[in-house]
Parts: sequence; C-alpha cells; structure tokens
Amino acid sequence: MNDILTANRVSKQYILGMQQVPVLHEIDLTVTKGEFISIMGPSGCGKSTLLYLLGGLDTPSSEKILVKGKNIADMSDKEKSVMRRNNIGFVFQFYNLVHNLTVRENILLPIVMDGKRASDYKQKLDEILDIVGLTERADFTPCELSGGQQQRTAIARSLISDPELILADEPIGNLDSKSGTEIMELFRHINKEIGNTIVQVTHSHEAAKGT
Amino acid sequence: MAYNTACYSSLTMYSVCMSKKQLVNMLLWELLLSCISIGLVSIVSGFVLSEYYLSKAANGTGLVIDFQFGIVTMLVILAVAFIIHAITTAFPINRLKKLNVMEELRYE
Repeated sequence: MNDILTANRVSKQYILGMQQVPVLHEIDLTVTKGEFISIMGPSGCGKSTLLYLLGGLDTPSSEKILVKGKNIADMSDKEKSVMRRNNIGFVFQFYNLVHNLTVRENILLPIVMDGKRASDYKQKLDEILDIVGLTERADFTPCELSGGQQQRTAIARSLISDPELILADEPIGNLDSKSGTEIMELFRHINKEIGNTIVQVTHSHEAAKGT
Repeated sequence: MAYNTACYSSLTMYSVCMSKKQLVNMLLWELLLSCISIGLVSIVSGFVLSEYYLSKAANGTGLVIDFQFGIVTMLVILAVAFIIHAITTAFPINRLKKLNVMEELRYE
C-alpha cells in the first residue's frame, strides 16, 4: 500500500524514418514511499526517457505506469499537468527556470498555476528558501545566480506543493563537483528529514552513494 | 530572441505545471492584451505628438498642418498591431503543438 509509483512492463520505442528504435523494453519498477532511488546506466540507455515516462512528460508505447494508483496513460494532458503540479516535483539537469521571474516567483509557479493564492504560501516559501539556503537570493533572477543556486531554486520549486515524489534528471550533471556534492546533500536531507521519495537519474557513482 | 524566450518559457511551464492547452490560452491572452495596450499607446502618443508638438513646431516655421483622427485610422492601427502580434504568436503556438518534450529537455 506504500507504493507511490509502479511501472509494469513499460516499453518505449521511437520511429526514426521507417525504422522503429526500441529505447526501453518491458521495464518493471516499484517505488515505495520514503525511498531514494538512483537509476544509473550508460548514455543513451533510456534513463531519462524512463524518468519522463514516470512523470507523464512522455507516453509509453506499451503497458502502464501507475502514480498513486492512477494510470498515466488514462490521464488527459490537463490531468497530467495537475499531477505534475501537485503530486510530482521535477528537477532537471538544466534547471528549467523562467528567466524573467525571480527566485521567489519561480518557486511559486506551480502554486499560482494551480489557481492558489501565493500569499497563503508565504510561510512555506520562507521555510523552503531556508532549507535550500536561498533566503538572501529570493529576489534575484536566475541569470544572477550560479548553477548550484539555480538548481537549488529548481529543488525549492519541486518542494513547494509538498509532493510525495521528486523526479530528478541528472541533477548535478551540469554542476562542478563542490556544487554537486552540496546538491546531493540537500537531496539526502530532503529525503530523510522531510520524507519526500526521490528518484534520480545519474551518471555519477558519487551522486548515487547513500541512495 | 523573443520567439526563443517564449518557446523556452513554454517548455519550462509545461514540464512543471501547465498543460499544452493552458499554454496556448496563455499565449493568446498575451496576444490580446499586448495588441490592445500597444494600439492604445500608439493612438494616444500619436495624438499627443501631432496635436501638441508637431503642429506647434510646424506653426513656428509658418506651416499650418491640420492633423485629423478618424475612428477608421484608429481601427487600422489596432488591426495592424493585432496582425503583427498574431504573426509573432503563431510561431510559438505552432511549435508548442508539435513540442517533443523529450528532445527539447534533453538538448536544451
């Protein structure tokens, strides 16, 4: 009953010209509440594809993915976007922040897009800014931040709607080793202290340690 | 530049919190609001500049220019602003409809 995410025989293939290119073949995966899982493998093996399928950003070619018991394949685009706002936090390698919004506005984006009042989340926002260490940078735009700080902003955005599951695609792939270590410490802290379940895709054995 | 920014922001919004339909609606609202605001600014500034500055400057040199503003002129200005914005909005919307999230996120 503690399963947050279940993937049953998930396959994915792309069509290139006249050819079908298989990327994933009958993957089974179960993620239980509170876990911190690392998906590792060589480049091009389909790690990111699997993560995007799990988060409803792409559609599997066969079988099903259940997020909290709901099959993603049966959801409309609108239902998937609601799920991404409320149940899943995404962290990307290239941060995916809106450049003309401040750190504070970027973090509140899923809340505002969900039709909630940003003012109701002021205390939670302050707590999250404190956790990710960006209280002093809350009114800066992404261009004024380092890579590590931008990734912290993306992590804060993934936490604002209190999702049970965070999906991270190469979260330290674009960072220097010091910033990368800090980001991984932050993820471990979030997993242990806040209790969010985390699934990350990574090349780095260092990043996968302790997951 | 504006096109790339619109596409990048749309991708970001889609990946974390919005559906494609919401994004298209957002771009259409931006189109409507920006063409109304640009049309109004153009009409008001055109009126003020011609009536108070150009006329006086022309009068100073002995020329008499009688600027006239009709409702048709204003509607033409609004229509031109709308057409220009519609064209610049059509490209991001078209790209959004064909968006391959996987490719865009991976090679961003």
